Amino acid sequence: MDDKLRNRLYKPVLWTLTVLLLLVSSATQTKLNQQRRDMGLTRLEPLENAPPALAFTTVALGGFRGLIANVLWIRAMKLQEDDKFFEMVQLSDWITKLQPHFNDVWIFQAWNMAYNVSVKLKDFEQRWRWVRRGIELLRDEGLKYNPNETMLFRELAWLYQHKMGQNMDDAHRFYKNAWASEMSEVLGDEAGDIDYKSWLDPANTDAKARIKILKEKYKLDIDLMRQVDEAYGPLEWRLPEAHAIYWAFKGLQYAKREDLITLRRVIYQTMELAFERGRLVWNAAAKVYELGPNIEIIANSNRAFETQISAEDEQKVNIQRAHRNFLRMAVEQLFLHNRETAAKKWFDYMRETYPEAVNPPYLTLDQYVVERVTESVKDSAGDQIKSVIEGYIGRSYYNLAIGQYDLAEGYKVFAMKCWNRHQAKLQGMDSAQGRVGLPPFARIDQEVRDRLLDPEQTSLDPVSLQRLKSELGVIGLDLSSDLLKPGSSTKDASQSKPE
Amino acid sequence: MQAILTIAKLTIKSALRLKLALILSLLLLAGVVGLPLVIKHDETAEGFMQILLSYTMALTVCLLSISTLWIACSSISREIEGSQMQMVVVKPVARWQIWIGKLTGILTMNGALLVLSGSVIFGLIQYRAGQLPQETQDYLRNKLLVARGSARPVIPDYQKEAQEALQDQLNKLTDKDRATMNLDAMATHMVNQVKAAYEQAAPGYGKSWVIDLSDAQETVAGRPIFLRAKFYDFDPKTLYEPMNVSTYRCVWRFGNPESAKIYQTEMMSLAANTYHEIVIPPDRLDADGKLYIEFYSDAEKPLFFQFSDGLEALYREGGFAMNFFRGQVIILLWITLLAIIGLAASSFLSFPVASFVAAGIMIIGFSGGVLTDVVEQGAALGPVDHETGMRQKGTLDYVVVPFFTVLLQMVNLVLDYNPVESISSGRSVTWKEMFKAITTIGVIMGGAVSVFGIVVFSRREMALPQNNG
Repeated sequence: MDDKLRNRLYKPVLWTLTVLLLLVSSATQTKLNQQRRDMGLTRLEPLENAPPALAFTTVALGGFRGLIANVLWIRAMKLQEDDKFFEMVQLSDWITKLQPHFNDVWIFQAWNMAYNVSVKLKDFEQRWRWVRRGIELLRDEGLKYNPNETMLFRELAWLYQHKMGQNMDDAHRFYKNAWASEMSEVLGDEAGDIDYKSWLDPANTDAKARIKILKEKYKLDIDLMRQVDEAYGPLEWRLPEAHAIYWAFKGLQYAKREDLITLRRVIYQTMELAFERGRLVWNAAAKVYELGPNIEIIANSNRAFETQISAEDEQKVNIQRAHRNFLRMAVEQLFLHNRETAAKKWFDYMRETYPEAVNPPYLTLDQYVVERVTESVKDSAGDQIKSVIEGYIGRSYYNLAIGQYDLAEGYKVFAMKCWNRHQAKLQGMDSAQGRVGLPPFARIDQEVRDRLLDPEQTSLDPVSLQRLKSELGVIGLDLSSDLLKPGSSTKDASQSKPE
Repeated sequence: MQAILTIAKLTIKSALRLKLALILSLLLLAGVVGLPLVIKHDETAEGFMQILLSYTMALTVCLLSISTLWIACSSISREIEGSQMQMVVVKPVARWQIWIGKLTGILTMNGALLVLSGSVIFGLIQYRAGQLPQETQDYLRNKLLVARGSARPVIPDYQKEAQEALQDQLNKLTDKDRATMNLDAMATHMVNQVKAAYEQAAPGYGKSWVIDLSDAQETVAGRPIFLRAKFYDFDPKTLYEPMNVSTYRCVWRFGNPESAKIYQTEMMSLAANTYHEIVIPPDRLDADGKLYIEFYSDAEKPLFFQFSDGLEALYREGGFAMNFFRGQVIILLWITLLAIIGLAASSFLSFPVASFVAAGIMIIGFSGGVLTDVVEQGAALGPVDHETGMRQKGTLDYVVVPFFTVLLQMVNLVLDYNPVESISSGRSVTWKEMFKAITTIGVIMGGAVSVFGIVVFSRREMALPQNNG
């Protein structure tokens, strides 16, 4: 071979060799990684799902990664001390990417953004952005690179349950509304009762597009949602509690034995919250979602409690106490929702499980519920009991106005039972009748109704007032009104008043 | 002068020959244009502009600093090592002229590169801002893309008041009582008490201030003013968890209480120990140019607006373009100082050692935070007390801390003028500040190091065998 030919072939041969070696190296990499893991040859597991740039950075920087992460961390803390947050997203991204297997880094950065940074901003929308950022950091990044880390699942569930779900932050309603609006866009109005059959086998492109958004943006798997709903639902997926349960449930699949209890704890605590306020009611006038109890999940919540009680040793007594309180509330809510048969069933179960919960033990269901609600009001205080009754009648009309008919009926019946109980106690006590006796129930009812219908005195917003008038047959309701549609962008009635 | 210019020209030519200027220009352009595409921000237009300004300017400073050090350190020492300098010094040109010529060349090149990157950053900011909705643009041009001056309420003479109060107390005591008392502690306590009374917003009461903006009355007419406020609640829990702050529901009112032109904010949830910027709509000053401020909260404990950082009115003082220009001048001064340090080092050291020394000085410059911590704690090498979290004094600290104190003072002379921070938060870099920076950084510090470098270079023997490697 002469020199000329050799020179001409030299470079192409080298290039071909390079490509071939890269291909072989790429093909054997997975196996090598597995062997590294199996033989414990490396302290760090190879990074999963990482884009090439990140994989390269983490390997190329070697031991310097920690040093650079420290410098970035110091800068992030300094900026935070000075209330300068515009760099935080970028710095958190770099810090976590430099130490992608270090759980605490992900957990701290997400918590810091969702809790510490968010609360420092006065604008609720900006706060929400930071809470969402914290969630996204764990959900979209942390779990992507550490898909089997139980603590990341736990922290993510906690952000949903506590930061968004609880009312510790002045902006908690904003968070809930913003999240409900986002979820409504994807899940539509059936978010509280998903027809999984059609979602699992989408018939049209719209359904497919929604599933894609769920999967790619919110990292939600529709089949896993079905499993969660079967185990704990029906859950309202527009509320944070459903998502807290989802992520804790997902974490259970990867949890080691010692981590199971942590995740189950999240589930039972969240189930309790989901029962207390796990149902969304759209308030057309205020253009906000209101929360109500989700009595459909009582059985599942109860099961979550039972599972946790059997699994716990140290916290057993505390959880039993919480379980007893949950049952008390369940009975009360079922009763108020006009579901006396179910209320009776759970009342009996409660009496059997926690005999001390019904005191005195001979109380019937009716007596028990009325007793619970009026226990803070002295028997002799007629005015106080009247205002309690007025309150329940008012709630009855309010629920009528927002279309919650069961609850409206339940409150009215309950108000009547309170009235009956009080009057029954005064039977045969003529002097007491005059002093602390109540006016006829119909009269109290009429007073409350008149007040609510009077535009000068009403506590209802204009739209609810219009609805109530319609329900009571005072005027006809204009159902085409934009104000009555969820998500309507029409101006708030109160804002349209001339100044 | 001709000699200096010739040396300067040769220095630039040498940099061009090494393609350094070209590579730097490309790096700067790629960085400035590419950064906005990859950086993550807080999803607000304001956050994006802030990060864009600060990162692109920081990148410029960083690249130019490194390249300047490299050129400065190599230009004299390598020419000596390559025996080129020996050929120059035998020509009818003084050594100080060679030295100044080198500096002029480096400065000219840096100036050109700074103009290039500055123009791109400025254009990019204007272009990006122009893409935003008009309302957002207006907001940014009032808050960020602007030169905002600052005014604070007048601090009352609380020291004098405390002294008088103390005197009153002491007058009521007998000489015998006075003799048994710690008068210094009493005086400190009294000062703190009087100061706290001025600073606190008591629960259930409002608090009011007046800020005199009469000098800025014309420039703020028709424009919003931003109130930067910070209050402390001194919640014991924040001693252990500084980030775990509480929020309070607050309302602000602006305008002379006797006039009808009062603006009241909506109820806002404000965190303690945090800076908040509240927008005051235009034309809320009274006829004398005074801004009246009232604050109300639902806090059940006193909130404290400290004199040092409690309240500050930020108002438009000038436009963004001139502010940006003044900032660039200060950046050029920083780089000039680095060039002088590099040249001075290379005047008597070999290239590797000069680079090491100059880079070390630059790193010390960037470690202002560490120096401050050490000086504030008064210790750097002792063990940490885990009860208090503070470091205890070690033996070597008696040498280290004073040395760090001097270093910090020198670093602060330079870093006190931080145009990157001012420009990215819409604050004025004033002409006065700029000329002060020229005097401090350029004339005093730069002059001193230059004199050192020139003297050393002038006295250096060029033709020693070890110089001709």
